[in-house]
Amino acid sequence: MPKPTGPRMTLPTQLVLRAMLADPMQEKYGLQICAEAGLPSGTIHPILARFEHLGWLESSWEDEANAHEEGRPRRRYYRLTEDGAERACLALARATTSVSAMGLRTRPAGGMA
Amino acid sequence: MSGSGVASSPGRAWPYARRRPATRSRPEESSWPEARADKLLTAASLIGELVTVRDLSCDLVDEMRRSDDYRWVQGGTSDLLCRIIDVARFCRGHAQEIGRLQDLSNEIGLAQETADAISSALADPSAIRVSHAIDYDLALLQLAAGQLHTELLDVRVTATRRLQMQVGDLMLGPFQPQEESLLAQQESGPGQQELAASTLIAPSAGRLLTVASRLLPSSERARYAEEYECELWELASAGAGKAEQFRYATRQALRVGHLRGEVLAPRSKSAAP
Repeated sequence: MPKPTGPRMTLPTQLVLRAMLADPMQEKYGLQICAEAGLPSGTIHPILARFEHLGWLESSWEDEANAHEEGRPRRRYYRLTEDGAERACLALARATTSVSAMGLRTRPAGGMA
Repeated sequence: MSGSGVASSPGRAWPYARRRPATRSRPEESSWPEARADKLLTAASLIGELVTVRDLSCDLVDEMRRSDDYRWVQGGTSDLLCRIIDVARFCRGHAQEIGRLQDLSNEIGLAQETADAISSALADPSAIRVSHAIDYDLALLQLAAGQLHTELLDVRVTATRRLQMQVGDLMLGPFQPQEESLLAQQESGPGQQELAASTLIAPSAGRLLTVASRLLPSSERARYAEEYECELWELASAGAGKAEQFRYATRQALRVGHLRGEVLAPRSKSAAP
């Protein structure tokens, strides 16, 4: 059986995917994903870029009018694609097995706000 | 918002002003570690320049492999070699400026010498000074270019590791709550509520993010600059102090190489997991 290829599933990568999969239909912005994944701010852009590159995530700017109404800069929102959600589930299932084998535990999605 | 950069100018009025009460006490003396901020900016620039010089060396290797005609190679690589030598010189300067990086500076110096030697050999085939080459041969120069590329790859890896250690020292060591309060006071002016709204963003963090976004490919620069700007604003509006904002900016700057790698990764990477 050929070895499956795909992104390297480091722990932060898994945490980001878990955060996104907690509500796959919801759009989330960078800091929100950081908070939900329990990662420090400023650490996730390479991970998001990788998954966007792979087509697992898509991103778009928030409507400028909404942002303006709330008196803040517009946010970049990320959302799992349909295909990406499936792939992420599979990849996480495989990675979780490996992580369990190492005796490590990942934090649950949405564990930190 | 233009998205072309983050709020980096202390004098720029932030357009999304949200006021916070100015309840801070006045500092007795200024203690903003400008020297540390400068070092971090220099470190971020150094990493960016090392990425540039590594990319240039990769182009050099490709260019030299494209032909076995000496004159053609000479024409195609002279500009690249000049740029490599120039950027390497900048890198050495930055490494010396940061301090405690003498070995790294020496390694960059060796790579610069290799580039110099290739350049000299291409300019004057009779004066062979490429490493310990016995005879002039284009193949040897191609090998030397490969060697240069390897040297620069090693240098970049070493530099990133060393700079991360140094930045860790800078970030973890001296920041104290009182210092953070002093920073906030210093950057927000003499207790004026109106001014506090326009200087919610730490200028030092903004400057660092500007440098970080400049290290990205031009096609992605505006997008990430705006994203950083937005996140910095969100942090500030959630009450993050100047030091915390600066830590955020440092984390972005240290990961910008990874981000660059991801956005430049070939599309064929999108294979099924």
